[in-house]
Amino acid sequence: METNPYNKVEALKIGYKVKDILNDTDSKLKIHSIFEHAINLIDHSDWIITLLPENYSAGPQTVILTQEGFAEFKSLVFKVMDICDFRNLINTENAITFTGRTIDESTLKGITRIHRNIEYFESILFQRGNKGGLLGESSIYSKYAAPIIAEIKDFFVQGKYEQAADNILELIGLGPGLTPSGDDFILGILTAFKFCLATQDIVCDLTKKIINEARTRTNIISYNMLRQGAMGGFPEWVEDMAFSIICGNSEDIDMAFSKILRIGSSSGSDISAGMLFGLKLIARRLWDDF
Amino acid sequence: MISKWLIKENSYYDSVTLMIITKEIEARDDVENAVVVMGTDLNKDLLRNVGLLNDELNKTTANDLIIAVKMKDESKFEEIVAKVEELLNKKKSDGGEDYNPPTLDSAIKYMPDSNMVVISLPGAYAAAEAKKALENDKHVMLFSDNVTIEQERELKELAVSKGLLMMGPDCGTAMINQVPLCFCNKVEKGNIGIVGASGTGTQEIMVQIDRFGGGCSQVIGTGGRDLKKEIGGLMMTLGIQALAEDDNTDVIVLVSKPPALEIAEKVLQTLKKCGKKAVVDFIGGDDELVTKYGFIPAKSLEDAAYKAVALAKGQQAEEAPLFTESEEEIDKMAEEERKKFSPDQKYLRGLFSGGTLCDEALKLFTKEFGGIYSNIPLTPEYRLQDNKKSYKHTALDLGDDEFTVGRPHPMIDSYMRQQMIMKEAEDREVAVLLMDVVLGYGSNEDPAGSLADHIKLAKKNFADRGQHLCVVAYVCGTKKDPQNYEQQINKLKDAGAILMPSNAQAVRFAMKVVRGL
Repeated sequence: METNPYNKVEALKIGYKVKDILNDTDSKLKIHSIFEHAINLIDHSDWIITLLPENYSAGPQTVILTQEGFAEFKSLVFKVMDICDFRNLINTENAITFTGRTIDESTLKGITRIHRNIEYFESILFQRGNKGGLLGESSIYSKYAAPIIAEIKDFFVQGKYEQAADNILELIGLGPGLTPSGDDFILGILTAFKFCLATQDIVCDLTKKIINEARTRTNIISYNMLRQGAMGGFPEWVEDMAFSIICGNSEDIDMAFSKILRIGSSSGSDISAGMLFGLKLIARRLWDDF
Repeated sequence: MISKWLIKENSYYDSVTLMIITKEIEARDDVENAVVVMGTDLNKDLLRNVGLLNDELNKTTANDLIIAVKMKDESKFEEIVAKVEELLNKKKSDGGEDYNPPTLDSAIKYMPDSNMVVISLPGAYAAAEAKKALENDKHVMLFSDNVTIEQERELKELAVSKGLLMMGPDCGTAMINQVPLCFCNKVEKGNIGIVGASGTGTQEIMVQIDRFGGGCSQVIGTGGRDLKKEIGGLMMTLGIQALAEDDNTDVIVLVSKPPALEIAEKVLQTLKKCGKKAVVDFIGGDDELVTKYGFIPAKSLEDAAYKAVALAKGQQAEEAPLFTESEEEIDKMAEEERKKFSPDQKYLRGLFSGGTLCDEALKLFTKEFGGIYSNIPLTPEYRLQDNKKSYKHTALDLGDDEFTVGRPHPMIDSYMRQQMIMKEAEDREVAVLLMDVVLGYGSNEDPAGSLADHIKLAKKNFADRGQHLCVVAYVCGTKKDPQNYEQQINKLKDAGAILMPSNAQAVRFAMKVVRGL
């Protein structure tokens, strides 16, 4: 495979986890998969770095290139399984680091506003979301998932967070898509937990269980997404969505929703469905204590 | 039913591709069920539940792609496999079926037999592209607005000199040889041709024709300014001439806002020469002028359709009844609503997605009540000071520019109307909410569904404070439209709306309810 050390492709944004991965692997990565608007590179520990053109969502494990740069990189890459020397091909010196959002109690809106925002989010999700995954009531996937999700809710209401966590794991690998709908749904729940400052008794061992068990239950690309989510790292547009509900108004929610819908085909909708579910689970539980 | 499957090991395809594959396979009549998923344990469990799992599929891993199908005739599975492979391997640069020409020139080269160009570009570029299309002997439908009137004149003169249609600018509805363009309803094929300078006015006439058992041959849009003096009705006259020569058209319907006298005369003279029967709806305009030329004036869009269908069937064109139900029944319904209001409720608020439907409402209302406030008022004294703040009786055209800056049109996206419903729900003096729901190509895929929850919530708000909100709705659509007409009606009914079969009847009913409050 050709390398081009003198005319590197410019990175616009680099996820914080990418730097860790590159430090560990001496920047030699294998081409895992090539799509029209994404190229996945994988290291020896199964960490994936995703290259995307601009106007796609940044994330902890993504590198955003210019449109021209992405096209150029794609033209260099011949096929899956080639080894790519990242540092020789991509210049990250001028790239902004995507660090993700931090959230604390001072940024939360009042409980009434958050409840209203959740209601508004629910209305636009069911109006505009893609119902091919878990969101629609009639898909075979949502019918399959319905009793599992009902149990999660019941356990949660009863304060049996350990059992709720086990049930959440039952959704891993379910549904259509490169990132299965169940995985997207779980990512949404994890985002809700992070942005609602869910305490450890709620989160339980969920994140550890995901890291340990998801690897065999879903594909490597989706596993990376879940693993990063379990560690508190989410794509930018997913964080924007949660942030707009917790800290914004309906216009912010609209804008964030338009962006999240652009993730995958139904992934944005499934992540949103999981986020809504997670928000509803813990909104009342948490903020009664404020 | 037979189960067939395809496994792609270690295969990663983006979600959009997988969705497209699923839709393609499921669209086939010979396929009962299709599942396209990665081979995760849970997906295999799901396949087991739907009877599609077997030993071979059970051995797949989470990194393998499964395409499993239940179908009638296994000999057809190879067709499905070929289609799947085609979709999985599709690259845009191949110049195959999915080639999207980046310019008009390349599009014309790519499809030299094409004869129509539909243009939707920012105004600055739209006129130039329209001119290019006409110079290449293509008919044009120009959806864009923000084209100057001088440019419009130039384009239409060029079109007329070449015998080409130049529909627009700001033309949103047309149907040429049964091909719907932009916002358009699917109606029965028939012998009534329409030339319209009004988008939803044309749509209303089309769907009412269909409702009355007639059908449409052609629907030619002219754009909203065609009958202004500066344009002189160039496209309306060309449209009439085209319908005159169309063997499938026996009756012509014209619809527009009232034109200047000289333009009206020119149009009616052209209509006279074509020798076909015609109904003319210069909405709220001069009926006597129409009658003078031997044509039939319409009292409403519904009435235009009613009369056109009668003429098309060789019958006398009588006036459409004011209501489909008996007057007695309608009065009873109105009285039942009135009984539930609190003393401070008195006003009607119309929230329209269709400009002409709103205009018809304003005219009907003004005729009876003397005036109604609006962002598109009939007279200046009834212009709202703040278009987002209703005053007394108000009817809003939510498709007007102020409401659509940075947002899709309300026929596509219900967000603005949802907001306005909730806003009106806070006003104790509101008695009736009136709205249109427009179906058809180009419209929201579930407009009724997008409004139903907000209607319910609004009614609940009123009920919580001991009041009653009467919601009157009209679904402008046919049973052939993609949105499932019956479902749309039912969603609105379930939300508590009273449905009327035409825009005019909805307006009249709403007027009956507020009369005397």
